[in-house]
Amino acid sequence: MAIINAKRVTVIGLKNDKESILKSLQSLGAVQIVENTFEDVDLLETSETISDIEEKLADVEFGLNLLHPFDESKKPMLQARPVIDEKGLDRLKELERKELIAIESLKEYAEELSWANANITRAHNLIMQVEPYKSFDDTFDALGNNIKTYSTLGLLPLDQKEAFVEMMEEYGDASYYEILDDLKENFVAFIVVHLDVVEDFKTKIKTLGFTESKYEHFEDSPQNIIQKEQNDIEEFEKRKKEINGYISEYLPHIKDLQSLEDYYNATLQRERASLEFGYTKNAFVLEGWINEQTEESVKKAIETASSDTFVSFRYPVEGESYPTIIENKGISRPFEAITEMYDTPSAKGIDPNAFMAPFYFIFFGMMMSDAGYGILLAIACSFILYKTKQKGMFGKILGVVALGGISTLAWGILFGGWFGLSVPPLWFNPLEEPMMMLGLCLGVGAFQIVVGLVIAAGMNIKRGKPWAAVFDQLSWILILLGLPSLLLGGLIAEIGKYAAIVGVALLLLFAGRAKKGIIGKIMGGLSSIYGITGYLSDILSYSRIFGMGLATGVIAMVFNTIAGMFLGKWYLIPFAVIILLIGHAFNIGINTLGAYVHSCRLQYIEFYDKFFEGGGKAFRPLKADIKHYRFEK
Amino acid sequence: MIEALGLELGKVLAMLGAALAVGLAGTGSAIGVGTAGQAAAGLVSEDPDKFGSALVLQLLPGTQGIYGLLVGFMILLNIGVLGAEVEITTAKGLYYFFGALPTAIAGLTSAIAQGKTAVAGIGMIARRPEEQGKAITMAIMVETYAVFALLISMLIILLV
Repeated sequence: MAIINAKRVTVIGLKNDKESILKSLQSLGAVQIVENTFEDVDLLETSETISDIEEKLADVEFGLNLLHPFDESKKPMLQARPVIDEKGLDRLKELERKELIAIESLKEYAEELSWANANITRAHNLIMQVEPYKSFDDTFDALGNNIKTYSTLGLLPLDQKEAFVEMMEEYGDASYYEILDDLKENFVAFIVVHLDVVEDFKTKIKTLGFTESKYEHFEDSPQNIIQKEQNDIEEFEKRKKEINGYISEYLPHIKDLQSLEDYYNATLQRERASLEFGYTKNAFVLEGWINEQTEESVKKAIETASSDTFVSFRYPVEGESYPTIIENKGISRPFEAITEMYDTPSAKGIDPNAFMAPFYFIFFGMMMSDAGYGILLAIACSFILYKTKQKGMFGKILGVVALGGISTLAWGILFGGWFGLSVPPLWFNPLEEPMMMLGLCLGVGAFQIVVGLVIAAGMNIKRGKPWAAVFDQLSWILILLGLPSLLLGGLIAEIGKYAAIVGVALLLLFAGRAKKGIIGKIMGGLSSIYGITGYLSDILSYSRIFGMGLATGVIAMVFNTIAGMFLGKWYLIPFAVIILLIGHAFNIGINTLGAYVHSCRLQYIEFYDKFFEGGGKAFRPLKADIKHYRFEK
Repeated sequence: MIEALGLELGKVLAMLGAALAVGLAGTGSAIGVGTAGQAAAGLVSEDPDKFGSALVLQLLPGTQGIYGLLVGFMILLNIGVLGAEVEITTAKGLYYFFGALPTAIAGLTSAIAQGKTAVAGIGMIARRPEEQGKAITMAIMVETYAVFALLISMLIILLV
């Protein structure tokens, strides 16, 4: 339920045992290996094994990507990955020989595919270029200089047609021209001129914007070229289909390729960790961090892997930085995900999860506040969690929402929300007594802020700074508790009055104590009173709970009302049912997202602001981080 | 003129408020979700696995439109459009009209601003996917003001 002490572990062993020690540490998943600090040891700059495995892994991923579009098998949505242990993972290596051969063939097919594709593109381009001249029925290589004439084919802008005709007519018998086709912006002209006037013609025609066809190297007519290229395209398309057929024959390999991907990834993770080791001729030294509670099991894991190994543990020394190891048990565990999304607590600070979890739970429920939705959320998330056995971040978030569903059920009963229908509430209906609801939200908000201040005060006391706790936290606690109690009247108001006065006095007198000079101290005290605006806006921010609660309830009412309009005639009832199903599903989706993120925000900005010390490094022990199997020891 | 048309001024004012709340807040959300969606599409085209994270950020500016819908719906409910006929005085209609304004105005502007923050957040998770939580928190900061506006709108509508 807190931050666990880290211990530094040092392992010195024989190089021959390195592999088996690494494997057993990976399967234990409890040691974060860090760069070794020994002097006079060699470091491994690179490793051939790593580049070799990276290459094979890239091949396997290439094969999987190639096969992926062909894979039409339906996978069940909610399926837990099969379990695998250290030995099982090791055995996957047997697949290597067979699959690497398969990948070689797949690579050849892929190469042929890309060759075919390149050819198809080339053919399409050529067709596009030659297309405008398709009415020209001679071959391209007939163009150019002949014994007495020069002939050319090209494009001219449509608006130059008259000028072109006029120009050609001027040459009289020394020229011949044909307008073959009108295109969108140009027309196609075939021109023959006598060699006597060719120079004059070439300069004049340029001014009209003539684009000459440059295909003299083709010994074929445009029509024939297009025909031939189209045949080519057909051929290549046929070939592509064939190759695709061959590739899809490899579909049964997918499972083995995935297994191999996991095998390579796990091996790579070990090999990369071994780059941090120090080496001598025959030995290696490993350093890392562990959770102090796992000391025995780490020791045992290493000793089972090899008997000739030296292992020692020590606590971090002054000034040494070490990872923050957080461990929560039971129902506050999933809430670690909320803090993880924010920041890693400093290793010397405190783990906020146990304090935050109850508030998160309450806020989530108040924001959803519909008993029906709560039941659905709790059941759906628990079911997904049970089916997929998700562990990491996603599993934790599912856990948070499932628990939030239970809270939602409770608040739904208290507020009388059941799928947006008006059911008599156990406590009160927020829509009928909005001021009560607003007061409740601000009340729990103020309470959470006071709890935050109490935690901060506790940390100050623990660090031997009791006066900081009195001046910086107790003063505010007195003000925050004192001011609202003025509203209650009677004796409580009287006590509240004096509490608030003491709080303000503490602030005025001591908040500026760190400042230099008497004026600085007075100014510090006065300006700290201004901090009340910060607390005011913090507390008002909790009114979002009411806002989100309204959103859920009223949207549900909207859909119920719309569906109600269809209920008049019996044959409209199916429409009403569809509207209800889609509407409530939409409402649950959008409001779960809303409740989730707004509850997070209240923790991050309003609560953590009071005591959280971040900037820690997360604990990332070496483990088998794989995609297709679930690794279990 | 309104009387000449046989309309009650109070109801007309209240409906104008409802129309503004739904229309303006919805416009803001449409713009916000639209701009964020363009950024999300860009990110997903690079890395389809980030669809989930990008979608959450794209959705955030969408809530203002919902707040507008809530205010509009509550007004319609209170003036008896959706149920039994209710007499609405001109004063009451004016209250509803002003009640709708916070959500209409803050909904329009905050959704657009939130859309821009979401775009920046999507850019952030493109480079640092692990910082999704921070990107969401930044976008949620903007929404605060829409929530406050909704709250005041609802208090006016529920309490007058």
